[in-house]
Amino acid sequence: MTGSARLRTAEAFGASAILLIRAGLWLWVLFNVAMVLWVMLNSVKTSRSIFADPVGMPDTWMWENFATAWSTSGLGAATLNSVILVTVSVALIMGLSIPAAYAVARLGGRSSGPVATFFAIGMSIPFQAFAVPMVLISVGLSRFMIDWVTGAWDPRITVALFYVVLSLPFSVFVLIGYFRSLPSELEEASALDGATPFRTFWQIMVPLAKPGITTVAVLNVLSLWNETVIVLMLVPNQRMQTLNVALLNFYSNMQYTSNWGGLFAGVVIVVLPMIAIYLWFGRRIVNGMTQGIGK
Amino acid sequence: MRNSIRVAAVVSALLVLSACGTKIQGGASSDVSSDPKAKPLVYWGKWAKGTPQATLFENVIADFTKETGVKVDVQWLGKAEEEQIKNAIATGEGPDFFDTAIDHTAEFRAAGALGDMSAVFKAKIPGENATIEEVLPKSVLQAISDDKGYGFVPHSVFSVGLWYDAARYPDFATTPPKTFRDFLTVAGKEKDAGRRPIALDGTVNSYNAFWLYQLLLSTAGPGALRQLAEDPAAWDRPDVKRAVTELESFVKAGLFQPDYMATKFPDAQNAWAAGDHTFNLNGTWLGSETASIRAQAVQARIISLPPVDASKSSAVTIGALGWGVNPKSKSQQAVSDFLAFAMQKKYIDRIATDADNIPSRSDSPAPEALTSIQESIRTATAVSLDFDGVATVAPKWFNDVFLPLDDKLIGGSIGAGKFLAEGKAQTAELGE
Amino acid sequence: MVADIGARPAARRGRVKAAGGALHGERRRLYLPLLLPALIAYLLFFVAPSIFGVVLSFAEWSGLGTEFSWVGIANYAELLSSRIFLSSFLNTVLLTLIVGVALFLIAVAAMVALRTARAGAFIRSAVFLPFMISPIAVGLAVSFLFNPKGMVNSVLGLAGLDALRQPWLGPELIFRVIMVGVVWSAAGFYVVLVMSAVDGIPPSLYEVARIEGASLIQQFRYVTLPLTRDMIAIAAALWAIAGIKTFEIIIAFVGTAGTPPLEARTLAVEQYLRVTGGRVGGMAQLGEAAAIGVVMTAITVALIVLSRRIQRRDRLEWS
Repeated sequence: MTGSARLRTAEAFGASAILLIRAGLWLWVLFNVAMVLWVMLNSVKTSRSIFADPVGMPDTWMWENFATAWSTSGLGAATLNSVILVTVSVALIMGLSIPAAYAVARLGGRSSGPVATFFAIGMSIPFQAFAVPMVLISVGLSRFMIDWVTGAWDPRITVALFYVVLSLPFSVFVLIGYFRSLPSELEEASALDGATPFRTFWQIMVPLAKPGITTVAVLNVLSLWNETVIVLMLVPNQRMQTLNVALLNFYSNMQYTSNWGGLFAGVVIVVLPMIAIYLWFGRRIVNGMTQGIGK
Repeated sequence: MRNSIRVAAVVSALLVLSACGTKIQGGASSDVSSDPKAKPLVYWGKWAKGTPQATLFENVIADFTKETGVKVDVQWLGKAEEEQIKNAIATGEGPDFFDTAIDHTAEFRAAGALGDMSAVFKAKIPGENATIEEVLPKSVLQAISDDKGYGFVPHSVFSVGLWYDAARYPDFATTPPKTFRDFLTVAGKEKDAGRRPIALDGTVNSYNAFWLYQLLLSTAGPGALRQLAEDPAAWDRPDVKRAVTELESFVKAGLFQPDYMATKFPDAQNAWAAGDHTFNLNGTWLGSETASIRAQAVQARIISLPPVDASKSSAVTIGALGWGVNPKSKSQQAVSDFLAFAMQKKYIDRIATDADNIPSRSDSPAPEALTSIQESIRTATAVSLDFDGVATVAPKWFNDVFLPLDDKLIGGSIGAGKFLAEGKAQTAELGE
Repeated sequence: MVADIGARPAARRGRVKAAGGALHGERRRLYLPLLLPALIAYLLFFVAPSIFGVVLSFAEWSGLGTEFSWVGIANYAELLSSRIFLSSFLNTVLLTLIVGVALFLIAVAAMVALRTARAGAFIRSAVFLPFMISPIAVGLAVSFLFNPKGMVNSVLGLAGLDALRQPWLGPELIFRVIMVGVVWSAAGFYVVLVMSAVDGIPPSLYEVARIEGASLIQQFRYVTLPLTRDMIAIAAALWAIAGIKTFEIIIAFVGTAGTPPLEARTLAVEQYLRVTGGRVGGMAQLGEAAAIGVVMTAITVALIVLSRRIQRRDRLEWS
């Protein structure tokens, strides 16, 4: 029968397509590994051989590139800045978005629908829409604090502030979805046991929502860790800048010295810890990132 | 256009740029102390820590503190420094003095970041019987001035010229090609021998523009580019057309390295330093930038680009780096003392020996590669600022009209006719 | 279902019905204290600045202390007549759409082949890696690959494919090369995202499909796709949000020696140049920069609306 013949050809076609895709995926994996190795190789080459001989092994092994990169780039201080900024911001994001999402998902009356929509709208607004006001607020806020309140101000606080509000729509949105997906029986049982609503929220519902909370936290850490523009616009002092911006500055300073091996050493210094963390926690990051979304 | 340039000058004062709201140990706004030793001078530098300049200035600061007891707190902010300084000074949080350059004078002046420098220039340099003003060449003093006087105290000077390999052309220093055409012939011979003579990092649009600008200087003189920015009619001038057609035929001769419009900067200049190519039209900084890469056999030297007409020698392009003084600083005298101290010959000499740049002082010798250009600067009667300063006064035109069109011209995708027609049309459009 | 939240009133099943009026009241009293901190922060530092941004887009202004004047829609008119804006607008839309399609195809391919692949988890982790890495580092490293004498051309030369060697970073090709870089760094994220939805499909469904003689492709067509549609819609929306903002990788790609060439500018890059007045110094054009931000919002909203059409109205349940 022609029908089954067609089916067989389709099947054979399907099978080979799948083999092809798998080969492609493995090639992609291979490329990623090769890319990491290539960057590492470049970091111990001389500037000359990076350009003249991009494929070959180093003619001299320039281990001192790392010393140069470390001492001239300020990457150490920038790492600390990044870690503190991201940790504080994500802690604040979670502290604000978990209660709000719970309130909207579980406690709200008629207003909770519009409130959820109101937050969701924020997701479609790129930060560029208020980049200009953001810069103005940053200046105004620091002048105000310096002149009237504390006498000093750190622009990193302003950055953290904007990190928090920019991450709120997405975080609240995903968490509302997650809280709504949880069964209400436990909540009811807890209430019948005499727990206050807050205790129910804090001791029953938050632990239940852990997968969703992890997802939101991981995604926020990843996106804030790689954020560049806001720091570029709001933080003038290099000593206060984050890892990405430090790398960018280091890149532009290379013009003066042409130490391209040193630049790649800088890239390795930035990237390798991320890869190490990823090798360690990779599965958990990948799982954590997705398990709470789409609920 | 004219209007927007004026507006630019006025308002760049309080730009919110990459806004600075920070209090980074504000020099000017801190309370005044009668004892100079109590409060250090604050200096914002644009050099990366570890660069020769940063090290040299740190040495100067150490010596100054040892001698006078006045501390200088230096903060190396990297390239961001120049972007931040205006806001910092406008908001009263600026340093006492800071790194600046000629191309920032207009905007810094408008922002109130530069004050009256005449007293500083009259300051006596310790141990020498001369003032700062007296040790600098006339052409440099002219270049760092605007209608309000001197902008800043320069320590390094640079220019733009034709880098070549003196091992191949030992007589260039004494008898360079007389005209641009002669240079074309020399380069053409190399090409015929199977070697691409000229290196160009075509992805850096301002490097591409050196060619047209230097040719314009030669045919139309300083200020021509500025007129192109401000007046569409200037695009019809015969001397402008002359420069553009010279460049067109030069591009057609195919003298640049293959795929020159697609290099990952600084691939081309590195290849030049390694001896793969002979010429590179670039700033005087190219020698120091590529020093670590240069092949033993290559003797890098620089001369002015040969003029289009032998009879008409062109103006020398002068740039300068130096120290600006915050007019709001409460420590004017101490800053003046420091600058006079730093301008001593023994320190400025090291701009050449340590940093491989041309020192600002007439009596400080330039590195060997740069002596020819230094001589041109010392004797120059006509000077031009880099790109006539349009990068600062008409940035939109420069970035959105001139550089993209120039890229196309030098990339060979449009010819002289199209370049001039488009340039005129787009300049008119922008000015509306 | 996440993407539906806004459209629906509070889910009915979430309400406590049995606990009685007093408790209900107590719960209602907790509503505002939990909600308000986030809501106030959101209103004060997100919503208000956004509105201020729209207001600014009708003004000409260069920052605090400079003259502020209303210019109506002049900024928008100016943008519409500016080649620079139009080309960066087009670049942004092209990048978001073309890269979006590429990401979709890669995600589909992964869904077809990765579910049953050996070492599937390893592949997932390995392709996700570039997403973790700073886009500055990615742009920098990838751009070195494409130097005329760089890795790509060298490898093509070694493979005897000299005809394929190209001036990759030249004006004609640079934007395509950047798009390849964006695909490389982002694809892993979307693969992991859709695969998590695939993981949620009960294996029994595939079992049934296999018994009925469905090939892998058919299994994808009739089992995987219908049950992951919602996640694909979410992924599409997330990409629209991220793609419009493409910035870092371009800055790192073209290097810091000059302003990015017109061919490679996106709206985010263009706006950055206008907010800061460009690398070479100059006047900030805050009104126009704000207008660009409004335009970017409009594109994002349009694309999100489009992406929601992927979603099914009647949601399929499997649990």
